[in-house]
Amino acid sequence: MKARTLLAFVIILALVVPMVVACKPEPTPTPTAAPPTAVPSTEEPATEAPTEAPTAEPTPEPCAPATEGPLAGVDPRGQTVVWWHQHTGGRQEWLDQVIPEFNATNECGITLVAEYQGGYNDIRDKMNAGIASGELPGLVVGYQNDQAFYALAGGLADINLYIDDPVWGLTPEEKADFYPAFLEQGVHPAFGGARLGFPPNRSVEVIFYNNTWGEELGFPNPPTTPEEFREIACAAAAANGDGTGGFILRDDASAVAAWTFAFGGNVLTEDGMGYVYNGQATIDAMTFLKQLYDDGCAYFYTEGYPNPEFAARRAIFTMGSSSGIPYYQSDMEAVGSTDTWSVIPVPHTTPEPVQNIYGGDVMIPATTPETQLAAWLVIKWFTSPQVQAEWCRVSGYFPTRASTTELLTDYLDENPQWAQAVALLPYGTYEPQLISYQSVRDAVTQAFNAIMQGADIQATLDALTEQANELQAELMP
Amino acid sequence: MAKQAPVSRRNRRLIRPWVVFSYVILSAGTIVAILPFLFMISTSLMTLGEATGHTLLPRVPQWNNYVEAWKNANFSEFFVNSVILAVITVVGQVVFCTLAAYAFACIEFPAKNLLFTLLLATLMLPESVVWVPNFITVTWLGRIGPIPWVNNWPALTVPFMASAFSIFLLRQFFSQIPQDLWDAARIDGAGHIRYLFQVVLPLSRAALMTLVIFAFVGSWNALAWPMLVTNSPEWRPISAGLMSFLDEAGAHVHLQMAGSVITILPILLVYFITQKQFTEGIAFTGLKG
Repeated sequence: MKARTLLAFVIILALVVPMVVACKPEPTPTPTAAPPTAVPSTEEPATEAPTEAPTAEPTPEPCAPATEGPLAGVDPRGQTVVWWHQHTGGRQEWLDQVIPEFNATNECGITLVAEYQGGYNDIRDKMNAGIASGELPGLVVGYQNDQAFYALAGGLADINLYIDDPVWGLTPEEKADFYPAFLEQGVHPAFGGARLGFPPNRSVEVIFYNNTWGEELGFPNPPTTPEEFREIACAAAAANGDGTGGFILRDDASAVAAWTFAFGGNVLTEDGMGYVYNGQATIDAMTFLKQLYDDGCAYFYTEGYPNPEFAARRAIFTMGSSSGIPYYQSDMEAVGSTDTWSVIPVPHTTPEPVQNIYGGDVMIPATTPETQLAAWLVIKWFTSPQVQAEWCRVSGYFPTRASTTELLTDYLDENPQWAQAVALLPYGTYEPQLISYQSVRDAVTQAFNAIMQGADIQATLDALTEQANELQAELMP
Repeated sequence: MAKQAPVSRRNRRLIRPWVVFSYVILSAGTIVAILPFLFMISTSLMTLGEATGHTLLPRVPQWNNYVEAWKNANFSEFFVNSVILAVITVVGQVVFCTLAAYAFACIEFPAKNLLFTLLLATLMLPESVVWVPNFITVTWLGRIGPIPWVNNWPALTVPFMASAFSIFLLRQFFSQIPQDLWDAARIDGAGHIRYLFQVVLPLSRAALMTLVIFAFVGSWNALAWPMLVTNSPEWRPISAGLMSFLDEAGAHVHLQMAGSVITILPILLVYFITQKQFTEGIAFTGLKG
């Protein structure tokens, strides 16, 4: 009996202790996607605005459902939109401030709940699990290849439905205000032209250049062509004389794409359905970089981000995302450098610069028509110039609409490198948004390193193109 | 002189080349093991500029990094969460794994070996493979149960209350207990439950402590699963706090390291408390890290 009593005690303890210990306040039920059994909103227009004539114009009642068009009868009012994002620190703090304002003032009574869910990889895991279980948010961030994965599983809404809607969509003027490449990037030819993502912000692949050092070496202006770039890099390398000084090579796929764009090519086929890494522009770009490396005018730095090398005058050029600008500023200050430095376009053989722009999109998961429409209205609000201007100040990201810069004149004056990068946005183009691009990126890095170690450029790029297209075919038969 | 001779012989034995070689190897291993910790502590006291540069030691120790890390990452809330989750997980593992291990070690039942083999086979599954099925399970259980599981403590603890590794560890230990003790207990009228609680468990403190420390460390360090099953910070563990020092442009390495030092302190504490039993447990069960 004693043993049984003891066993009972242990079992009770095992069950009760966790519950007692876990007597924290009940977590606020996280509003996720509205259940499919929600009151059918399609009936509401008939009761709320029965006398109105069918029209594509917004109804006088704030945020009332449209009476015609593809979204007729879909009522976004009172919806809760959960937004899974990756923003931390100051960005998250700003969101925590501005979202309550939106919730209090938006005429549709939409409640936006922004939830930090870790980095892009964590969010990808959550989305995959969410699609399998039906627990999806109203909005989620992710890269373009993520969009393809989710769409393949039937987990995303086509934003074209919303962007083109006569009542809830964007006007032609508003569409024209977006930088074209930004808006095009979310359109997936592999999914019949569906718009699976919308840009809330962007970064751009740039060259960081030490102007003061360049002037000391006899180059009054930053380079615009590959030849000028080579001349300056080699002069800086000769000045240091220890293998450093020139350009720090970047083996990332975004850098390879950026060089290809600058040499007048593309890594995406014309129909947007496959890869072409063996085009003449990529071959020329790789040949240029290999020669630079062989001549001792470029080197690899593998111990982390290159900004400390740049600040310490161990590289006159580095390459990377414009989101690194604050880190360059910090490093220049840390070493007490008084050098003037700038952000310049990738040296190009094209008449105008062609810049690689990138960044995560927001997507609308497939939930209910009401939640999806409410999510679109949140996107519209977030990409409005006023909100974008504030977001750019906080995040350091670039705005997606040209008119936003008019609201940022003071910020542009205070941040010259940021302003230089903003000036490059009209020249933007983008990397493949294909489903396999995450895997292909690794293959590109390997190919780049193989070329720099002496592999035949043409053969390596041919093999890379074949491998990339095989990966694409494997994931998207 | 006659008394000193044995000492001299012992000394000669101590300085044999292989002993020196062993010490050199062990010292090198110690250095390799301890360097990351020293690097972490050193970086935690640096400025961001020093942390991202080539500096080995901070010019001026930035003790404020610890305060900043604690505040910025909301560690106070995450810390409490981690303690609660670790306690629930450890208690659950001790209860369920003990019972399962005892059954596998001391009770004969049909297909015992097959079941044990299947259990061991689950150790071969990569953790990420079971995420989606487990997520679907906890979502479903939350829908049919009285409390939500996702974004709540059950999803963070229940899936880890039955660990194949812990069952294996205890089963190995229980199997070594002499059969004579069971025979004697039977003569005294004991059944399995009394034998388990009055004989087996008192003899298995070392193995149980090993289980406790593994379960505690596993729960404390968990990140991917907690991020998957929580949507808000209310139940996220301390490891989630460390993520707040990462953004797309890079990491605030100095704060991340300060946060890491804070994070590992409880693990070190648990290890120091259970060190003796833990070492014995590892030795008895023949397990190595």
